[in-house]
Amino acid sequence: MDGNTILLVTVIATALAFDFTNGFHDTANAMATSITTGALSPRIAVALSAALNFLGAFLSLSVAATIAKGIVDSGAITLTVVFAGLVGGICWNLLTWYLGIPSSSSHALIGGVVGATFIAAGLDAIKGDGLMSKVIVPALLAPFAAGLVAAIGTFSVYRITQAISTRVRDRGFRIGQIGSASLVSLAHGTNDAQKTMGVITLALVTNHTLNEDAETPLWVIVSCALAIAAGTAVGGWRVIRTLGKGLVEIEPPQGFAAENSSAAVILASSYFGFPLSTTHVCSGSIIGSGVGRRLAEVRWGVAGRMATAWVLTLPAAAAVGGAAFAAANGIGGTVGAVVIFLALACFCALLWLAARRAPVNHRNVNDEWTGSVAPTVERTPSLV
Amino acid sequence: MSDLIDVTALWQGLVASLVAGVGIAAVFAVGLLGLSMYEGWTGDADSAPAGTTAIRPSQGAGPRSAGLVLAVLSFALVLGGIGLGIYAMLTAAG
Repeated sequence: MDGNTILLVTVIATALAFDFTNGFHDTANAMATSITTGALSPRIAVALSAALNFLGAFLSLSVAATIAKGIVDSGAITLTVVFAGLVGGICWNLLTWYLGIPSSSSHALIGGVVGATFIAAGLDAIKGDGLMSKVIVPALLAPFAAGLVAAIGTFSVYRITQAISTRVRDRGFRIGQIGSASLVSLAHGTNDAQKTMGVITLALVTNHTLNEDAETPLWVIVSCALAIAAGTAVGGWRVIRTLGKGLVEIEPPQGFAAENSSAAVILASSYFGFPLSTTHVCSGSIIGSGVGRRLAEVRWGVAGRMATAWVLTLPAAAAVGGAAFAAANGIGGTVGAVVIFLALACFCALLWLAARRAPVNHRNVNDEWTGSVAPTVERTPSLV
Repeated sequence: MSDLIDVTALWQGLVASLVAGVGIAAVFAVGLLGLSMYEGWTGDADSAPAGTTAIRPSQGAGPRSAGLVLAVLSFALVLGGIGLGIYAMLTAAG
């Protein structure tokens, strides 16, 4: 096996690892409110989301062999840049998972690639206008648009159902939540698995293993679908807890209105060519559902921490991506990439071990919010 | 702003989101209202003593039938909305 092949295998493995982190980081977007309101038990919820993410990945019929299109100069993209960008994205995903903060995996990947490209090819290779129009402006608009839709939706459902018994109302909306959450999971699988397919296809094209106009191989589609589904099935309980319990104390009508708002905003914006981050939309919807219900409490402190993380996503991931490229390039060749890959694996292991000291799992994810992501009462540790 | 983003697509997306996001939620709520009319449950059910079955007697065929029709129509609209959402997903992905 020559050096190029080893580098290619390393990039593909890293891309699938990113897809895995994308899966467990974003489970909360679709399922957090359903778990909190009792519409679905925690383990059923993540299993359903995993299955729908897997299915959604196969709905992505056209896969573009691009990454950060319109944001960085495509001529600057090399295997090492792609690899370093993925490292930046994975590190930010894992750090925010550990802190229980919902953040955009897409923006983390773009940030990583931007940072690696900057180090590799200089500032001229970064397209500021593209960054602004494709990343920053949508990131600013998404939570407000989703919040507005969810707030009006929540207000409406409470007004319409005020004459119905609470028991009937809540039962009905819990059933509705299963449908709306499923739609969000399906949309997530369609959008996000396609991203990693594009990265791997680009790696294959760059390595001349695949022609530029060739179709994406079936094994790429299947492996990406499996990776995102496996990540989803692991659960990402820490982020689920923040979204489901930390932002707003959610009742079933709010949960339904929030998930419905998320599905509507995600699908409408994608259809009209203005794709938004699933995380930003879902988080905005949950906050909007708190605003829309009279006397509901929105924990603005938690929302503020989340907004801070969103602002930091691009520069932080860019910093890691840039550092990863510099280190891999400095060591040189395939060995450099393999060394950074092993360092990434160590970082992952350390964070996982740290998380086990204050575990969040399917047993305690719905415990009362005590101000931090892990409940104060210790329970039996689980995987994540 | 228009140099950076497609403002037309932005407005189209926002309007569609409002119609779908608020509309489907409201229609679903109307469906629940119809269902409760059909089954004869009202807010009185909440004040029933613990351990008792809090169901009022039927309110008569008229309101019950109207409730059933309302529920069926509303949930059919919701299902149509879900179908539209899946269509949008497939169109955007393909």
